[in-house]
Amino acid sequence: MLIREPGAPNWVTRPWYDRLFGATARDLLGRSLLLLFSIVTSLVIVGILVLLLVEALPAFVTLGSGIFGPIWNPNQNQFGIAVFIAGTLWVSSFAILLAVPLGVGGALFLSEYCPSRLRLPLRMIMELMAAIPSIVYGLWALKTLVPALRSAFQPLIGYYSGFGVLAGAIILAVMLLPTIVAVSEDAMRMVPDTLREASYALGASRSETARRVVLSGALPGIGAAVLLSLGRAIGETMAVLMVTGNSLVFPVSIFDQTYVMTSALANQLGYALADPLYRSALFSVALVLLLISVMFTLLAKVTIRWGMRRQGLRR
Amino acid sequence: MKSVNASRKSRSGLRLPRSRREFLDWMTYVSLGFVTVLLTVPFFAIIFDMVVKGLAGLTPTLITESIRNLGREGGIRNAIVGSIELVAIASAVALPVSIGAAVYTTEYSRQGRLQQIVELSADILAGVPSIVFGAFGYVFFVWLLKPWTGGATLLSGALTLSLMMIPTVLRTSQESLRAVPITLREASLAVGATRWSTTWRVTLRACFPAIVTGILLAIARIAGETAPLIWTTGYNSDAPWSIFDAVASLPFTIYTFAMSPDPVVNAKAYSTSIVLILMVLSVDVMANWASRRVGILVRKG
Amino acid sequence: MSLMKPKVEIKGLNAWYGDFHALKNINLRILPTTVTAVMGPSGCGKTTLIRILNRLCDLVPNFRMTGKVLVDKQDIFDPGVDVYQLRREIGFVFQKPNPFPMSIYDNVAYGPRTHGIHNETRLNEIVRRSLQQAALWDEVGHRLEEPALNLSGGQQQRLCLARALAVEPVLLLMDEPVAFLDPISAQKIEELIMALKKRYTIIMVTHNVQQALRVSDWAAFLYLGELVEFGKTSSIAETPADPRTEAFLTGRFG
Repeated sequence: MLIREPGAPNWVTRPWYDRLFGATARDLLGRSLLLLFSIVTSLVIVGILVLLLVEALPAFVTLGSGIFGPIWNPNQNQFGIAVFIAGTLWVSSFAILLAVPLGVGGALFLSEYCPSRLRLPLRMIMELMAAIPSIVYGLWALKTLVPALRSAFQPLIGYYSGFGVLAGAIILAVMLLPTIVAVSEDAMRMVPDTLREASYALGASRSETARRVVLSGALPGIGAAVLLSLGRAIGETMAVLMVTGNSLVFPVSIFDQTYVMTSALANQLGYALADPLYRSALFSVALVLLLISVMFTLLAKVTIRWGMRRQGLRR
Repeated sequence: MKSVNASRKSRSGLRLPRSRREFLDWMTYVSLGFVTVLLTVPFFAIIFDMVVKGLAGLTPTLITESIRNLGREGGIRNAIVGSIELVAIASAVALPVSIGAAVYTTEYSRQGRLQQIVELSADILAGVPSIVFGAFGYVFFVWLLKPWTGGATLLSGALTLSLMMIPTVLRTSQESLRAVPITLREASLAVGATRWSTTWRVTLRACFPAIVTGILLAIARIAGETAPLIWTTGYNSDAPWSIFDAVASLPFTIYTFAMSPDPVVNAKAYSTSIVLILMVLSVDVMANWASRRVGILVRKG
Repeated sequence: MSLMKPKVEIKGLNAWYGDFHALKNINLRILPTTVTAVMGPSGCGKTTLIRILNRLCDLVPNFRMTGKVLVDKQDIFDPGVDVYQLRREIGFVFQKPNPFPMSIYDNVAYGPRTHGIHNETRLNEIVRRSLQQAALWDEVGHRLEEPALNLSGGQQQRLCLARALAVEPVLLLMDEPVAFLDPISAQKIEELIMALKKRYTIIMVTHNVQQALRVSDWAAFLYLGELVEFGKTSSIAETPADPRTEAFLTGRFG
């Protein structure tokens, strides 16, 4: 059915571009386009970094180290971003302090103790929580969490609006929990059952096994989860924006209001167009945000690789 | 394996702990269980809140009418259509680029160095805060490229969102392509197909459901984003007719409703949240269904 | 039944993976319409040899070779060669059945479609003919739209054979085609090979001596990259010239 020429085999001689590049013309065009796409995707992060640097540079040049000063007052040309950095540190650290023990504990329960009937519904709930957009968390925090905090603590500490570090930390912790639970649980499940059996065979209880064998075995994964969550905590915008009060003072307790870096950007970006120094100061905040998040992402990757090497040595 | 746990649990649950160790074991079990229950409380609290405060506002007019009088009247049609348009255009830009880059780095890049660079860039990009994307989009798309984007428009917002889609789609596509066994590619080459032809007719076809899952997950993620849109989309009380018009979005609408001093408008925030959650959940359900189809293919092969 | 003109000529072939010398100075002549078994213990280079013949070795990054490989008197590594056409003319059946995750029909039609045949009538004819040649038509002819992965292992391997035959090769390469199959399916494929050799030249890699004795006309024995012995299967089996060949044939190493 296929036509064959008599004599020489049909596979001799091919077009010049095929000889040169080892591919048909269509191959070549397609491949070049895909190469372009690959380059473009790598350039995105570079582009963002460069743009932020360029925008932030005037602030560093003009203010020097004054950019890290304590007073932020655009009307008086004072652009110290330290108050935002402090706010982010307060809210994120407290959120992690809440989320990690609870998250790891929950993961441990799901992995080692949970009756199998409950496992699937619990995991589904975690998945659903991860799917809820941050603005919805913000809405709930604004209208329900803040008043609840106010009525709970006001009798104890005097005037308390409910807005502040505590509210931000709690809602942030709630948003971080699904990820911490999921990643930690995965890490725990990867600990081979034979190790657990060995522990039980030596007479250890379930909790002792969980602590000594599972937890330590899953530590790199948990560490990576914590680092990634730290990165997310620092970068979370909407929910924190709505409940921290956005006041330009350095917090001294978790009941104080505060202003975090992401909120500063979200609130003020548009107004800074007219004043180049104002805009530049804001972009220095963005730059700090970017660098911190990149650092946590890289640290998480290093932790995972360290963990894999550790497991390789073990086996 | 787990039967060892089960028998232990029933034993220590049925009788009084006899030793300190058994007591500690039991205490750990109870406290961890309590913690897990505690973890689920926010979920139920939020859902409860949404339903109680928002269900009443879920009328047909919510979906069919656009916003009027700053939200005191009318519906949210402008935001619903706006969100759909934003996601559609963001996908149209991000998907070819991401999948194309994934295909190139897994199928054609010889030493794998470009592959590593692309992977690293995507992983770093995945950790960048959404407001930083917003700040970038503001300067780059709304300001610098104003002659081409028209300022704070549907196009600018969609382009900003597309940048956020790239890491997810690229990484999941890479993983999916890598999962296709080499022998399938070899079978195609053995009958005389070129590598390009093999990539599209065999390799991509084999991992298509997995790639679709990645796409849907990326879509679900950006559909709920607010921060990148605050300064890049402007405001529109109607659905835009062209990509050079400003556009409203569901998340941003929820934000403005929530911050409004008017309690009538506040209540609308809950109804809008229900709409947004339903839309995001339906995409997630589709992603789940698609990923299960991958499982079927893998099992047969 | 053999003509004087060889179908495949291998002259002075040496091949390396990086520093590993996989094939050492192979000289071989394959006659048309015969079945040649390439035998040897694991790691002796038989898969390497067979993959050179349809230039699948091109895909391995640190692969290097010297020497000449001629098919129908033409050097297949000549820069003027269209390797896609070459691969069409030299069919390949893999060790583990690897049908595409498509329908049975699409699997067989894949090759012809690749080479530009889209006419439905012609494709139908090609699919039917190929499946008949692979002795699969009776079993699947009525359900061509079913996924190929629904078939049993033996059926899948016959499908892969049909897929290779659909592009009308002149040379068929088989890399241990029954290694993953049950004895009954293996037997069916062996019968097929005996039938196919009337039209095609077949080179089959196998580590199963009994199979080589049953099926092949000529046999090449490789050991650690060297061609130890080559000749008619019957004479090698009765009177192997090299002690290594005899050791392999009697099963002293496998």
